[in-house]
Amino acid sequence: MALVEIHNLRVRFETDEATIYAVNGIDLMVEPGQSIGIVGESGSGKSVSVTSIPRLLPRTARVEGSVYFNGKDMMRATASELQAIRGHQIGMIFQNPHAYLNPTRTIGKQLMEPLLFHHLAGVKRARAMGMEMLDRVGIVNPKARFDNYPFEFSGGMLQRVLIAMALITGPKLVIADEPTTALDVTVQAQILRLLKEMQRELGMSMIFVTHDLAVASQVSDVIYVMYGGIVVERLPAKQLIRVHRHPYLSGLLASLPRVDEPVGRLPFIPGLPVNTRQPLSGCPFYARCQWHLDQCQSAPPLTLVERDHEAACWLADERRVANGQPS
Amino acid sequence: MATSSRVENDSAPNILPTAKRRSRAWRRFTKNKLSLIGAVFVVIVVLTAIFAREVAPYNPLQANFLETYQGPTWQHLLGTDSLGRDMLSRIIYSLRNACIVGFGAEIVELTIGLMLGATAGYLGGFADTILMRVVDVVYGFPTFLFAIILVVMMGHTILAILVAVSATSWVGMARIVRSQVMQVRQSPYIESARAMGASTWQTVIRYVLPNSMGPVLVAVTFGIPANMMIEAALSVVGLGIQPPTPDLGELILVGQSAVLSYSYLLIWPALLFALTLLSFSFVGDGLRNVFDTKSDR
Repeated sequence: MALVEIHNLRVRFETDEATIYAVNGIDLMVEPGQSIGIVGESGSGKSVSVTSIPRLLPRTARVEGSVYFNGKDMMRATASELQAIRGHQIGMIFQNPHAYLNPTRTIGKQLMEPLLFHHLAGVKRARAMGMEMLDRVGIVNPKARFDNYPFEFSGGMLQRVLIAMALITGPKLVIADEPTTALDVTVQAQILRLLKEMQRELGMSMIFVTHDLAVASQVSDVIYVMYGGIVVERLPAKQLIRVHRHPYLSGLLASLPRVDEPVGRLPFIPGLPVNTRQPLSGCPFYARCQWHLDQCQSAPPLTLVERDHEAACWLADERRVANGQPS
Repeated sequence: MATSSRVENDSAPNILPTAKRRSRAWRRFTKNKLSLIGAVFVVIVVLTAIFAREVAPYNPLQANFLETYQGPTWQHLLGTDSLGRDMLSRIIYSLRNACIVGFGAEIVELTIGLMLGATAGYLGGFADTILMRVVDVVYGFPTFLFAIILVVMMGHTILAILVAVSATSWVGMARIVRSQVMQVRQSPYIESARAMGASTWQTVIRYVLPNSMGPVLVAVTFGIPANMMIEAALSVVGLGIQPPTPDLGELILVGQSAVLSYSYLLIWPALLFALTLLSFSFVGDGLRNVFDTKSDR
């Protein structure tokens, strides 16, 4: 049985001015021990999708569809059931470590909190576990660091603390929402390696959200590419470069700058991201796709193009398309 | 395994001892010398009020008809009043009422304000609307009218005055707390707390309130002198502590009726009162410097 099963998830935000259609029906599965990468540009609904697993979305969000975690129907769970799952079985790592730590509490106190909230340890034991965890995520001199405040840490170290906080309870699933976006490249590499190591070591599942294709392919087994609130392609990470099908993904891959080639004009995907203020109709990429057909006015379903590889494009299915280009 | 990714090697020099960390706030507070002087003065006033019995040279109620209207002498440093009572002792004792009402009412205000403000601000929606309408109603209620009713009902006791002062002044605190909580509620670390599985209560107590305290503390330092002011004003209009017990308001009232012949009867209590109020303001300004992180970057 899959650890996470999401079926036809739809999320919209209803505000006074407009309704935002953030997620327009996605399916997602995470097996125990598996690592999933969700890639997409800003506003593609990737963060919203994953925060709806522990039901942490703000009150303005209207969520439809089904979300199962560890066999539990999260859509029907009560507030106290959700509270028992959050931080215990699902750990969250956020994007901006400076903002996601309470500035008025010491690192150690915050680190112990998941254990204390869920009554997994007494204060003394939690303290010892916290120190050990700090050491494991690579904080030098955890004893002295334990009583420091967040402002005394650098961004990379804070991100390590956030990872320690998410993992201290030994969750079944860790959701990392762009954990390295706020960090510089060398620190990013350290953090990614750390996350991957910890995930393997503790045998957790991981959902890794990023807008960086390279990062996603490094840390995950399966990659979901999102655009306009739907999954446009799902493929094994190893295949990412070779056999992608959706024109959006090929456009993304083409626009990656490379250091080993002469500097030229960087290709980009023309047009604007999807207007999320209207309900989605047809293929979300229609307006920006250079190969669009009349057929694309109706939404292409996510269809299997080969083993473990699905794409939501009429072209991917009908003709044999190599790397998003019709042959 | 941790060693493999342990690269950021910052051992000793980065770790500030706790004492040094505290000094950061202290340095900001004392950057304004006036707030330091204010703080010292406030401490002196409070200590004097607490140890009035030990500090005062005479019994403030003891009349001595042989020594009425004495100017400052070595026996009576600030002179004596129309009944020959020692002015210094009377002033020292009068600080007691001022402090009891000033601090006591502020504690009541803070408690009610924190509870209502945090509830309204954090829950929002319907609860917020109801609670804030209650606040609006109380805000529209005249403090003095309420005080008159209470004192008439309960008699001229310190409790009645305390209730009268705090009953209407908590609304300002509730509003400040609410606005702070609403702002802090949006912070990412609140989401982080929820993601860790914190209950609403734990979130509010450990995450929301500590981060809302800055402006609240500043409001407290301005609230205390405001309460003292009301207390003194009540006794000026005859609704405060009954006369034989010394009270700053009463001392000033008596002093001003004799100002042309015995001006020191007015000058000393009025000066002390003014200095006390001013000191609290300076302390408040200092605290504002501590919490206002924008101004020094």
